[in-house]
Amino acid sequence: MVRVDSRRRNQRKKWILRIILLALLVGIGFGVYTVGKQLWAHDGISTTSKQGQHVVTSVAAFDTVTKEKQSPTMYNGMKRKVAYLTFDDGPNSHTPEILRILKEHNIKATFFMLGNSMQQHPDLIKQIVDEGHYPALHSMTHNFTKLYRSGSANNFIEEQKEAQQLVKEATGVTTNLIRAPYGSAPQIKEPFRDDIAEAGFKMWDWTLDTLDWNYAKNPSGMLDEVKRGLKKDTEVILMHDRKQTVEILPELIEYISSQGYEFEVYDPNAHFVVNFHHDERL
Amino acid sequence: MKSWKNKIGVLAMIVAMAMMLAACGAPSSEKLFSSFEQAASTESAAAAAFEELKQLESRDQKQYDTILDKGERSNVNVQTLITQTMSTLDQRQQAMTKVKDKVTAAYEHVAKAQSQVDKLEPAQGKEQAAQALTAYTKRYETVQQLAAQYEKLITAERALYEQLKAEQTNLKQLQQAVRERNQQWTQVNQLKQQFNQYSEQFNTNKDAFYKAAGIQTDKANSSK
Ligand SMILES: [Zn+2]
Repeated sequence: MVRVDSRRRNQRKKWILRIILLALLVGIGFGVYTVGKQLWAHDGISTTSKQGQHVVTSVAAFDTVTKEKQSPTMYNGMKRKVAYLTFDDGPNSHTPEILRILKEHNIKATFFMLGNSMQQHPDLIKQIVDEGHYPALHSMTHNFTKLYRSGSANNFIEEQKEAQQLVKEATGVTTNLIRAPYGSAPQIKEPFRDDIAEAGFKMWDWTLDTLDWNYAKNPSGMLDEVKRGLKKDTEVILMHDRKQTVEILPELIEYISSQGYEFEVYDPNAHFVVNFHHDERL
Repeated sequence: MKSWKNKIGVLAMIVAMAMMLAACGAPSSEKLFSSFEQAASTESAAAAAFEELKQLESRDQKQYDTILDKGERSNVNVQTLITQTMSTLDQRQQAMTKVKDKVTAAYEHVAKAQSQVDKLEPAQGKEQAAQALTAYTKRYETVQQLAAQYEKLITAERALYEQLKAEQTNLKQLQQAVRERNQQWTQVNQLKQQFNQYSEQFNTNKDAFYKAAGIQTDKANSSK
């Protein structure tokens, strides 16, 4: 009897001990958890601040202010003379002839195309790109009032975007180079240019005007303009897809080459500033 | 002997239970909060590398322009400047690698967070949390690509400076080297912009999630 009694008592004792131990351990566990949390907070990692609020950290971003590097035209005593032939207002019935002449001379040129003309000749946009020339934009309508007299840059930018889409559809190329109809001066002022830059376009004017519109009956007048104007190490030469241009183009090319110039096509990776305002953003 | 073994067994079980209790105590939203914030705070160690990269890049730009300017007549005058500029190319790569490593280390805190997002109720900001997580994952992937692309850029930069330094340099080759460099730069820039977008998305969505989950927050001095 006595032995049975004492065994029972012992067993009860054991249980009580176990329960106390359990309570103790849970207590310790909770204590460790709380202290740990507090320590964590002091590390500033996750964290509760004095007011019992959680501290939040934002993640960083990169600085993106650097630009493309400019290609030198003069370096180490060397000088490179470069001419960019540019053709506006096409594509049209004269464009195939221009392309033929360029191919004959192995020259790549830059075409500032009108949206309304592109819609009529999608095949020519493709040919221009396929033959290594650069497709650039010249608005949809060329309409002075619509582009410049509305009080904002919206119409201008919308038209360039529309033209950009046409090039993309025909060739898969997304081009950002534009030329303002009638040139960027005087009609394009500062806030207007802000919007153009904001829209991501680069805008080229020219450094030498052949005044081809003036020489429909006398194409050699264009050659005289070039002879008078060809001076700078880099010349961006303005022409249009017109009959007189086709007629004089072989002679123009010959003269420009004879003056030590090499011909280049616009390259977005070697962009440089050619606008009347010297706006570095465009 | 036997009873000791028993006691140890019971003890071990109790300890394990206590630990689980402590660990599972926090709700999913709290756990996500600490995953996100631990990640962000791990990254803040990269703030100096972001800044260093910015400084080095803008100095490179200035020095390049100076080299072209002063080297117009002869590149003999700019040999030292070119060497000096080239020596910072490695630093640029190192700074970019550091950024990548920190972002990668930080991502560890968030990599397994999807299960916590799954446990959230819509009313607890589940959607915002999911978007924050997606943005952070994409940002992590982008920085891997960016670091690889940056190496290509540095190679192209080095080739360009070699060309500028060479006694027998010629303008056509120089132009080719500039184009190559600009092509690599364009891609780096696109990836940087992508990264920045994901940074913004992550920051915005995690804030929105905290708000929806009712977590009261305080802005730390953000690394910006
Ligand atoms: Zn025009």
